[in-house]
Order: sequence, then C-alpha cells, then structure tokens
Amino acid sequence: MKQFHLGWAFLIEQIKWASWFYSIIIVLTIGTTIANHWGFLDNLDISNTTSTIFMLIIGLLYSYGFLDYYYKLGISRKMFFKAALFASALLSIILALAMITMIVLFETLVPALGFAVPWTDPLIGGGVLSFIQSIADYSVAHFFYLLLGWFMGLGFYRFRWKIGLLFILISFPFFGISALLQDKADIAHTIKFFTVNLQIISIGPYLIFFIVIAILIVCNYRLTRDVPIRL
Amino acid sequence: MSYAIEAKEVSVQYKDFTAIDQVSFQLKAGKIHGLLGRNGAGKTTLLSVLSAFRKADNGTLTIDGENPFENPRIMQDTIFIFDQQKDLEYTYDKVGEMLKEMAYFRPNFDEAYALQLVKKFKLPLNKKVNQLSKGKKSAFQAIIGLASRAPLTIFDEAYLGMDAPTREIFYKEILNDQEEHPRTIIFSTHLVSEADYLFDEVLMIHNGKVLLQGTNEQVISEGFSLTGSLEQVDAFTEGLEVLNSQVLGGTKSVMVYGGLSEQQRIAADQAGLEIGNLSLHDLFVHLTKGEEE
Repeated sequence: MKQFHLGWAFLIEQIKWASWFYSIIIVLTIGTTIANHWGFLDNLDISNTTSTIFMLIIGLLYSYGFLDYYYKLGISRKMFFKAALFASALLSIILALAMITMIVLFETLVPALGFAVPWTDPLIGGGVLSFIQSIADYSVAHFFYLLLGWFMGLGFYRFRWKIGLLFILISFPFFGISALLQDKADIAHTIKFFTVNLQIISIGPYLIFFIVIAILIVCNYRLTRDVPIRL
Repeated sequence: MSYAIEAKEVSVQYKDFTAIDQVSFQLKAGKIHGLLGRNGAGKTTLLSVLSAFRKADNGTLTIDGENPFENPRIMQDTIFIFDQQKDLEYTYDKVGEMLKEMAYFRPNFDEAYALQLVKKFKLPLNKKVNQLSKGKKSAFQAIIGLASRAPLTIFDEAYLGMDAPTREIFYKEILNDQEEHPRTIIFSTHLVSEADYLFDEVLMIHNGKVLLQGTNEQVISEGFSLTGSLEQVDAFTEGLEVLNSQVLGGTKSVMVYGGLSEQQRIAADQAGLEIGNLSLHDLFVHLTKGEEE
C-alpha cells in the first residue's frame, strides 16, 4: 500500500470514530441547551474540553489499536508513523472546522427556536477573524492533545504499565504548558493566541506550541521506530 | 516468488531470560519448513524476529538477502499468522469486508481463492469477525495466510481451535497451493504426528538453541528403533544414545538417536534384532524431554 493511500485510509477510519463522537456531542449540547432553558444548568460549555479529550483518547489508542493493526498487515513502523502524522494533522483541522460549524449552527438556530445558547461569549459576534482564530486555535490544541495521547500510549505499549505510568507523569508539564497558553478563564471558544487587539496576531504562544509539538513528534518517532510489536 | 532466510548467531533476551541463544540456520526458498519445539523453546520469539515484530538483540538475519527490520519490501511480503483471538474480539467488520481489505495491503492476495477457501472452511461471509467461534476465527486467519500468497508465510500454531477435519482441510490446502504457488512457509506446531507429512525440512529448537535441522528424511534417519531380546538389545546399544526403552517380559524395545552404519545394520540383523524407523513425533518427544521426565 502506498504511503498516501495509507494516510487516507487512516484518516477515514478516524473520521468514522469522530462522527460517533460528534453525534454524542450534538445530543449532549441539545440536552444542555434544553436543561439551560429550564434552569437546570447555567453557562455550560462542553465542546472545547471534550474535543481535546477525544483527541487525547484517539492518541492513546494509536499504538494499541492502529500501529498493531497496520503492522500486522505488513506496514512498517516508519510508514505507519508518517501516515499517522498526516492523518492526525488533517483530523485536527477537520474536527476544528466541524466544531466551529456546529457552534455557529447552534448559535444561529437555537435562538431562532426560542432557546438561549448555553454558553457565554458567542462566536458569531466576533467577526471573520474570530472564526479564523477559533479554527486555528482548535486545530493546534487538537493536534497537541493527540500527540500527547500518542506519547502516553506509546509509553504503555512499549514499556508496559509501570514505566507507562511514568509517561503520564512526564506528560504533566505538557498539559501545564498547554493550560498556560490557553486562557482557561475564557473557555468559551478562544485560546487567546491573539493579542487583545484582534487585528494583530500574537505569534509567541503559537511558536511555543509549535516547539512543544515538534518535541512530541520527535519523541513519538523515536519511541515508534523500533518498538516491538505485541503478539 | 519465495524468500530464503539466513540467521547467524541470533539472540533475543528478555531481561534475565535468554529466549533465543545464538541461533544460526538457513532456510531454503520455496520449501515448507516445520519449526518444532516445546512450549517456551523460543519458537514464537524466533518467528517474531523473522517477521520483524521485534529486533534481535544480537546476530544478523537476512531474508532474501536483506535485513527484514523496517524493510518495507520484505515486510509487505511477509505474513505472520498466529493466535490473534484477542485482537479479533474487537474486529467488528464482516468476514467478506475484511477479505476485500486484504487486497490493499497484500500485493499477491488472491480474493477469488480466498472466497473458495471461505466455502471450504464454511465461513459465513456476512458475519462479523468477532462473532465467529474460536475455530472459525482460526480458519479466517488461515484463509488470509494462504490467500495472501506472501513469499514468506509463517503459521504459528495457526490451527488452534480448529477441529480435526478442519485442520485436515487446512493442511491439504497448504500442500495444494504450495504446489501451484511455491513460497517459503514456516509451520510451527506441537501436533507433529499430524502435520509431519507437510514438511520438506525440519528445524527443531530446544531451550533457545537449534537441536536439529535438515530435510524431513535426514532428520528421521537420525533415529531408529531396535527390538529383540533384552540381553542382545543391551549389548548392541552399549555406547549408543538411547532415547527411550520399554521392556515387556524378556523383550526390549529401544529408540536410538544417531545414524546406523551398514556394518551395524548387518550386525543387528545377525543378532536377530528388528530395526525400525522412528517417526518425527518420536524424535521430537524424546529429544526434547527433560531429564526429570
């Protein structure tokens, strides 16, 4: 199988999983909107956290699920790694687009039906730059969490559970960096990569994120390139 | 197309345990090689090195003249069928869909042949793989192994869970398809007496080392049985390596390891001793048994 085809096959498989995830998220958000309308819940935003957690879980399954599966079909570790990276980057962007589309649809349709949007700081009030900003922020955050999940999963797959637990500990600083770069006070839709002036993009946080992402890619490759495949 | 294999001083270590200890051998291309060894002898570890599932800690291994580890050509052309019952528990695709998918990954995969085998093994094409019985799951894997027609095909106790008639179909298919599409097949098994007719060559390993290697006939000729009066058998076998002996009344029957010269054969005849052949199963059982057994 050619590298390109493998990457697409990998992406399609992940999108199948993601469609399940999105179905659940849509149902949950509708439920949240109704609960919010009747006063059961107030100002709850589940989408930002859940999509990154979803990516983290997908990353955790990379070694146990995908590497194992594709290797047994004759795909080399290096080929798998390249395909996984390609699919991960595309999935991060596709999920970000899907997330933003879902939010915009909700923010448009829900008030029209007489319900209140169950979160503050609506996205559609921010203009075009706000859309681009959110797509970029979601994409980077998704990719980062997927790589981190992949890293932790590799720890368990390669070294079994004792050292695997150590990989979770090693991951804590990465989560910390991510939390610092994201403005947790404002969890609505933005990760504040932009300066207060929305016309000027702040490159600094993106740069740090990209450096951390590069470190994770190198670590994951080094852990994958000679990992013994489990029988 | 089939691949030759050469291993030189290959070792694999798991912490303090040496699973494979400086093993050297050559496997000819286009033959069916029986890999025999008891539980824990190192068969699966050896096969996992051959299929590049893991790196050898020491030594060199070449398949078709190249190092197989992370070699896309060799890896694509090597199929390793082993007990994947646990993995298949999470395979929600249907049998037919899975077989179709194989063609994307295995360049020589023959879908028409796979469907013929599905009929022979009585597999339901529309059933999800995880819903198959243990024996049917093994048959499903055997179909993939056979229909992939990989130049290096490895079956590691691939028959687990199959009933005797299904195993018989499997063995026959190996022989039939090998005749039309020769490849290098390594067949690892415990059921030596049942599958010995498949092997062109035999590699027997014990405690991580090579115990015997040769053609099926060469290996079998390494042992013989002697039956006669107790005194005459004892006198004849003095200095020979006796693997096993049984006494019934005044008659003794022994299994001897080592070739028999023409002179010895004549002497045995003259002493009224009956010379018989040992089966591969007998040799395997008695050569690999521990001192306490």
